[in-house]
Amino acid sequence: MTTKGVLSVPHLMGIEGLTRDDATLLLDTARSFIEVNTRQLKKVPALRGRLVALMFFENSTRTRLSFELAAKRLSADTLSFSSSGSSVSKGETLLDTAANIEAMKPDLVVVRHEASGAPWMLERVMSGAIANAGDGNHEHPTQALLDAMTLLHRWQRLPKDGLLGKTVCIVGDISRSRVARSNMLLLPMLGAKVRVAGPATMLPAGLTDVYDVEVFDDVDEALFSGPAVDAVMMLRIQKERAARAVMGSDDDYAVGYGLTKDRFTRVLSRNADALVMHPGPMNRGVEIDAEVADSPQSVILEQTETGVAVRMAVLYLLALGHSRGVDGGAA
Amino acid sequence: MTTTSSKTPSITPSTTPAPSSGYCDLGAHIRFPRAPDEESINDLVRAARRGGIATVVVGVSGQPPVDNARFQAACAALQGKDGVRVIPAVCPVQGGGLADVASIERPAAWASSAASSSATSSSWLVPDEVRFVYRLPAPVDDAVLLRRVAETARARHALVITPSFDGALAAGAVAVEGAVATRLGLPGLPEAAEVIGLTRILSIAKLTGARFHVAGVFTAEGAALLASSGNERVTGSAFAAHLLLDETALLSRRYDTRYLRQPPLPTAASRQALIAAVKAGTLLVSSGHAHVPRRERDLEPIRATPGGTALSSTARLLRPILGDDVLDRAFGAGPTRCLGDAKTPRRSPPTGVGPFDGQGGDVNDDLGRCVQELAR
Repeated sequence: MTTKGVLSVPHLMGIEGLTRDDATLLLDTARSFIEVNTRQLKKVPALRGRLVALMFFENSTRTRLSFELAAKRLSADTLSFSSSGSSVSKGETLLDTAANIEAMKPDLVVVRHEASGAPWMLERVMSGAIANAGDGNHEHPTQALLDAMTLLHRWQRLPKDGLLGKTVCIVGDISRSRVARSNMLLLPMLGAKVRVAGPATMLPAGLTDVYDVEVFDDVDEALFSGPAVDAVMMLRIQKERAARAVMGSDDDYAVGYGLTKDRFTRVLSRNADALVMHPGPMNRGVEIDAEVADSPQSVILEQTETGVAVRMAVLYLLALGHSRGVDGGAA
Repeated sequence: MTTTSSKTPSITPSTTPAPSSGYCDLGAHIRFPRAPDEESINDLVRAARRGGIATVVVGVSGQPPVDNARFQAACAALQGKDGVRVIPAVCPVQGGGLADVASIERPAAWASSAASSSATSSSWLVPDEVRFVYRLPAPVDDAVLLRRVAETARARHALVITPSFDGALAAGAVAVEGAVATRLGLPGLPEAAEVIGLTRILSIAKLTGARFHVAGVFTAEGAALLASSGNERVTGSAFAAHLLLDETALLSRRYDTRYLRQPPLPTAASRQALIAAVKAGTLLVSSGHAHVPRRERDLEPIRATPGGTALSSTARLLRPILGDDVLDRAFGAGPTRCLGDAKTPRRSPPTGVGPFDGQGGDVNDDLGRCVQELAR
């Protein structure tokens, strides 16, 4: 249970493990940072003197920039690491790299890695609080939190009110998407109904045993049967996966599963306020048409903007919890 | 009692003569030549003796295995040491084709001969039945190649020990496909891969008349298929890890690479079916022994080598769930018969060693430590 404004967990490894109170606290705190980010002076001293290590073992643009900006707006010092040009590219293991960064005594560690479970490995050798910025196909918790925050903001709801009564449809490569996994946990936790859709080659086994979602291999059935959807979240298709025979051509995918202009027009005919989301980077013309991505119903850039506030909240609350843990509640 | 230290685990050989018969393991692997922090053949023999194992078939890990002939010569030099009979497996497949089997069989034949003369019991191989053991270190998905291996084995009276599953479907997998793998974001292997692999093996066995032993059966369907095949020349065994742990351990011990196994840990239902099949006598038991250096375990789950199993603790860990009689049959008499031994050896208790000590067990006893951790 969350008490006194502190998370019930020492690290943000995933949405799994968070309580509803944790999620509400994170989103409430993010709301206050959204306000900070509208000020002329966008910096607060919350993490002054703290060191945030940004360990990105996998390419990232927006998540990395977002975390870096979040740390700076909280007045933290940052230590940036990327695998290209580092000892990792010379064969150093993850744990060896982590042990060396640990020697610099970071208070907070933000990690992205291509392997599921990498943050759990870091926990063995690092003493700072860990924020998972995406691990393999497993989880991307801050993306799910910013997605939820964006929806709450657009629908003018408070975090404590959640997303009850709303339906979100996630479309794409569910099997290899950490964004989908985190959203399939967080959105139902906040009360939303979630549908997921994708080609059968992109739907993992046992989905409904793990997540409270409806599963469709026909995107039109997912979008147009039952109650109208309130938001459509398109996932990036990694084109290199076509070589692994999980999809046909880009054109095949666009016709079968893409959010085309025609398909989105049908979505709007059922709910004129339906929103469009995408975690980025987008493949325009494959999973989403340019007209849809740039339409007034698109909240894609709002997701990026909200991401900074959400990551400020994550860093702030993890640091708070870490201090209490380390200092015995003195902070 | 054997003394061990938690910081520097070691295997201390006993000077007490071991019984000439005991458990028989078809599932041990070793790397050869070994790196400094890896297990030697001597280590393996001592561990076998501590575990009450009197006969052990040892294959070379790696694909393709190297220096097979040298490895077999090294095994031959150890025949009868501490009363343990070491049967070096010949790897008939290297790369994508049939190896020069004759050149690597020569030292194996010498090893057989040495075993016959040095072991304290009567000859361990019945010449007309099995002369060599062929071990496939990875599944052979190519039916043409598998047929050639089987035909060669048949002609030379060799027992073929093979993995149970289709290798292509298993590529990269570290868990059984399903809810657990999906939840952890780990690449999964469908259980159907075992049915596909076993169907191919059973068909090739019927076609060629070769003797096969399928090591590491890990699904209920696979166990049932093997039981119903009606081909007495095809036997199967479950690895100790698959009888002791199921995939739910992956959830409780998140991303701890010692819990990753090859083949992956079974579902809870399959584990129960495997135990039932062993008790019913339709599956045997093998250790799945492998030593995994720490440097290979400390990698990310998708890159790490699956956790190890120690010969010294296999029987002790299995006894509570199988009982002495079943263990005698499934880890002693049955495997020995696979090798063509007409005798039914009795179980020999581990000597020179006390109750399993998780802190001080063999350096490669990941499985023993996992079982102990989960029991806490």
